[in-house]
Amino acid sequence: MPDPEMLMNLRPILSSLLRHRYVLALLVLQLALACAVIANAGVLAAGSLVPLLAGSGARDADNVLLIGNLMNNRLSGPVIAETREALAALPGVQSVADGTLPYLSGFRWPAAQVSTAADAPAQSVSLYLQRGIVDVLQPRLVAGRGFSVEEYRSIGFTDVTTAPLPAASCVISRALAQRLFGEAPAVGKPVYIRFMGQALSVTVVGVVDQLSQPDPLAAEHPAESVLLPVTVDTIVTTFALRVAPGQMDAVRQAVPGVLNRTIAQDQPINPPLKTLSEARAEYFGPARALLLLLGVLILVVVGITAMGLAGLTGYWIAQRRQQIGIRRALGARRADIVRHFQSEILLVGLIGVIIGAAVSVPVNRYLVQHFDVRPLQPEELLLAAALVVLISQLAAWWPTRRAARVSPLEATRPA
Amino acid sequence: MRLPERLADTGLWSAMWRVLRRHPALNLMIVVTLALGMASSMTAFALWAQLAADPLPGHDAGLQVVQFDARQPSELAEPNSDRSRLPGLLTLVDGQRLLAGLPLAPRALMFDSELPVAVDRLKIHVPALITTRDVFELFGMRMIRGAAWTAGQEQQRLPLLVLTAALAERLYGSVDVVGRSLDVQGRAFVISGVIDDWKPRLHFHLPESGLYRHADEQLFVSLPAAQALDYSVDGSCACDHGTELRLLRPDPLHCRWLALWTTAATAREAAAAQDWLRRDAEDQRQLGRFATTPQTRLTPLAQWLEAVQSVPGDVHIAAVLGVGLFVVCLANMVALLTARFLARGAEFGIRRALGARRRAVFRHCVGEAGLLALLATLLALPLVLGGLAVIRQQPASWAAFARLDAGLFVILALCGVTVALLAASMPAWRASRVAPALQIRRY
Repeated sequence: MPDPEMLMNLRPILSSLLRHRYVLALLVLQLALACAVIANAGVLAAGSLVPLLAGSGARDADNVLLIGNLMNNRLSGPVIAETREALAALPGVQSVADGTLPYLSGFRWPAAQVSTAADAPAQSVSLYLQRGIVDVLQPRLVAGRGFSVEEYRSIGFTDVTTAPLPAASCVISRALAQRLFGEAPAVGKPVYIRFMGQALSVTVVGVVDQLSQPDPLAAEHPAESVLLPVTVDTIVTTFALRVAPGQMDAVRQAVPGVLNRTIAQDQPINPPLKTLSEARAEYFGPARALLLLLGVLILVVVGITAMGLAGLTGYWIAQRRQQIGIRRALGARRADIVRHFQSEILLVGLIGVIIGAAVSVPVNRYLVQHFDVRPLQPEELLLAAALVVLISQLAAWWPTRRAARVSPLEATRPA
Repeated sequence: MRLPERLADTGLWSAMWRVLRRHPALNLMIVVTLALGMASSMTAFALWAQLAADPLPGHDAGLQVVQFDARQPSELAEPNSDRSRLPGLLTLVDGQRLLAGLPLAPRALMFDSELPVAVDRLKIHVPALITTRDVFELFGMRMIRGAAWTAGQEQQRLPLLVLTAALAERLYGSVDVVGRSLDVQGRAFVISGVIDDWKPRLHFHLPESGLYRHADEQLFVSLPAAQALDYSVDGSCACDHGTELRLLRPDPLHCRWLALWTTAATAREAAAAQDWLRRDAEDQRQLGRFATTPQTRLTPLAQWLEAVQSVPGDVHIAAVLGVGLFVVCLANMVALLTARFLARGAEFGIRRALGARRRAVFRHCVGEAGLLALLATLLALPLVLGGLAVIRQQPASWAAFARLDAGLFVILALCGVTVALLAASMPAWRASRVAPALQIRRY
C-alpha cells in the first residue's frame, strides 16, 4: 500500500496521469459506474435484509405447528371451540391458539393505528387477533403478564366493523413500548387502537422482549407488535399448536384426523401444515430471492470491474516499461515502483468514487421516488466507495508487481 | 501494395480469427464481460416485457374501466387511505345504474365467484364470472355455438349462462350443448352459448382476485339471474364502516365488489362519458347518498395496468439494475478492448507503414470487436435461459411470466451488439491513429 510520503508528492503522479487522459478517463468511468451500481444495489439489499434478520420472536419455532388456512370452511364459533379442545387433547400438544397466525398468506386484516392518546401520532401495526397466542409462541416476557383464560373473547367476522373489538387488555412488544412510552414502564398504561373504523382503549398488561408482527413485510416497523385477547370467528380460522420436543411428526400425522372429525364437510379437508420456521421461510421466499439477485449482481460487478481494471492497468503500466527502466537505473528500488503505481491507482480510484458518488445520489433519488426504496445513507455510500477503491488496489496488484520486475537494462533499449 | 490490402480487406475474417486465437485470455475476458452484461439486462427486460405486454393481444378495443369512488368520509379519513387512488370496484347499486345509463357501448358489469355445477352425477366447483351480456363482445371472446343472452332475457332475469368449450367438453363430452340445462347451486340454468377458451395474459379485469392468475373463468352467468343464487365473492370486497362485512351476498349499497368495463373509440366519446359520470355523481350527492360529490374517472386499460402495478416494483428495479450492469460491462469491455488494441500498436504501425489505410485498421478493429460481441451473444443465450429458469422457481406470484420470446431475444441481441460496436469504435478509432513510422522503429 502507498505510504503518506508518496501521497504528499502528488505532482509527478498527476502529471503522468494527465499525459494519458484517455486511459485515465476510462479508468475513472469504470470505477464510477461500479461505485454507483454497488451503492444502489447495496441499499436495496440492505432494505430487503432488515425484515429477514428480524426473528419471529417465538421460542423454539420448530416446535410450533401452524394449521391453515381454513377460511374457506367458514367455521362457526362452536366448531372452532370443539376443534381447539380436540387438538389440545392430542398427545404431545402443549397449547393451542386460533386466529391470525404469523407468516400465513391468504386473508390479511388491514393495519390498525396504535397511539398513546386519541389525538397522539399513531403507528401502523398489523394486530395479532388470537386466543392463546402468548402460550403458543412463548415470546420472552420482560414485564407484566400474558393473557389469562378469562380475558379471551371471540366475535363473529361480521361484527368487526360494527362494534369495537371486545378487549380491555393488550400485550405489546418492547420495540413498540419504547416508541410509545420511551424508557417509562409500559405496563398499566392505556393504548388507543383504531381498527376497521372503530376505536378502543386497552391497558398494557405485559411487554414481550421481541415479537415480529404477523405480516412483517407490510409493516414499516415489523418489530412493533400488539397482541389482543380476541379471536374473530368464521373467516380467519387458523390454528397454532405448541408441540412438545420430539413429538412434531406424531402430531402432524394426527391433526388431519382431528379436523375431519370436528369439522363436518362434504369433502375430506386437508389443510397445509407447517412449522413456524417453515412458514417463515416460505413467507420470506420472494424477499430472499431479491436478496440473492442483488448479491449475485454485486459480485458480478465486482468481478467484471476487477477484470477490466486489471486488463487496462496492465496495458498502461506495460506501456511505460522504458520509463520504469530509467527510474530503476537511477536507483529506484522495486518497492518504490510498486508504491508509485499503487498511489497512482489510489488517486484514480478516489477520483472515480467521487464521480461515482455524484452519480449514485440521483439514481437513488429516482428509485426512492418511484419504488419502495430507502434513501442512500452517507455511510453506505462510503462503504461502497471503500469497496471500489479496494477492488482497484487489488486489480492493480499483479500489473504493478510485474512492473517492479522490469530490469534497469530496459532504459538502454531504444524507444 | 496488393498484399497488405488483401490482409486488411479480403482476408479480414481469417486474419481476425488468427488474432483471436493469439490472445485467448484477454479475448475470453472481453467475451465473458459482455455476455454477463447482455444476459443480465436481457433477463430483466424479458421479464419486464412479458409483464408489461398487452393482456389482450390482437383485441385493441380502447378498453376503459369505470371508476366511481363510493367510499364514505370515515373511510377516506383513515390515515392509510389514499384519496387520489380511486378504487376500481363499484357497489351493486352504482354498478347497475352506471351500466344502464353510461353513453358508451359495449359495456359489462362483472365479478368473480366460484359456483358448484352438476350434470348427472358429476359435481364440480367452477371459477365463474357473473356478468352482463356485452362481456363477450367487449373482451373479444369468440362464440363458437349459440349466442350471448339477449338484453330482453337479461331484463327478465332468465337463468342463462355461457360456458367455455373446455368446460362443455368436461361436463357433456361435446360443445353442442346450447339449450341444455345446467344445475348451478341447485338451480336450473340454460346454456345460451359456448365460447372458445379465453386466455388473456393477465387477469386485468378484476386484479383484486389475482392479477397474475390466468383468467380461468369457465362459466359466464347472467348477473341479474345470479341474484337468485347464494353467490360468494372470489376477490376483494370492501364495505363502508358500520356495514356487516361478508363475502356471501355482500350488501348491495354499502359494499364494493364489481367492476364495470367499457370501450371508448374516440377521445370525444370518452370526454362525453366523463361528463355523464360527473353529472351522475353530482345527482347522487343531491340525493343525499354522499356528503361530497364522489370522484369519477374513465381509465384506459394501459393506465389501469399501471395503477394496479402489473409490472411489480421488484421487476422495475431489476430492469434498472440490469441496465446498470450492462453499462458497467460496456465500460469494462471498452477498457479491455483499449488494452488489446493499444498493446498491438506495433502491429498496426507496421500495417500502416506497409500501406494499410487508417480506415482499414479501424474496420479491422471494429470487426474484431463485432466477432467478440457475437460470441458474447451466443454465450448470453444460455445465461438468459438459465436466469429466467431461476426466476420461475421463485415463489413470487408473477414468476411464471419469466419466459423468453425468440423475437425479443433477437431484438435485444441486436441492440446489445450494436451498442457494443458503438462502444468499441472509440478504442478502434484510437488504434487507427497510430503513426506508422514511430511504431516501426521498435523493430
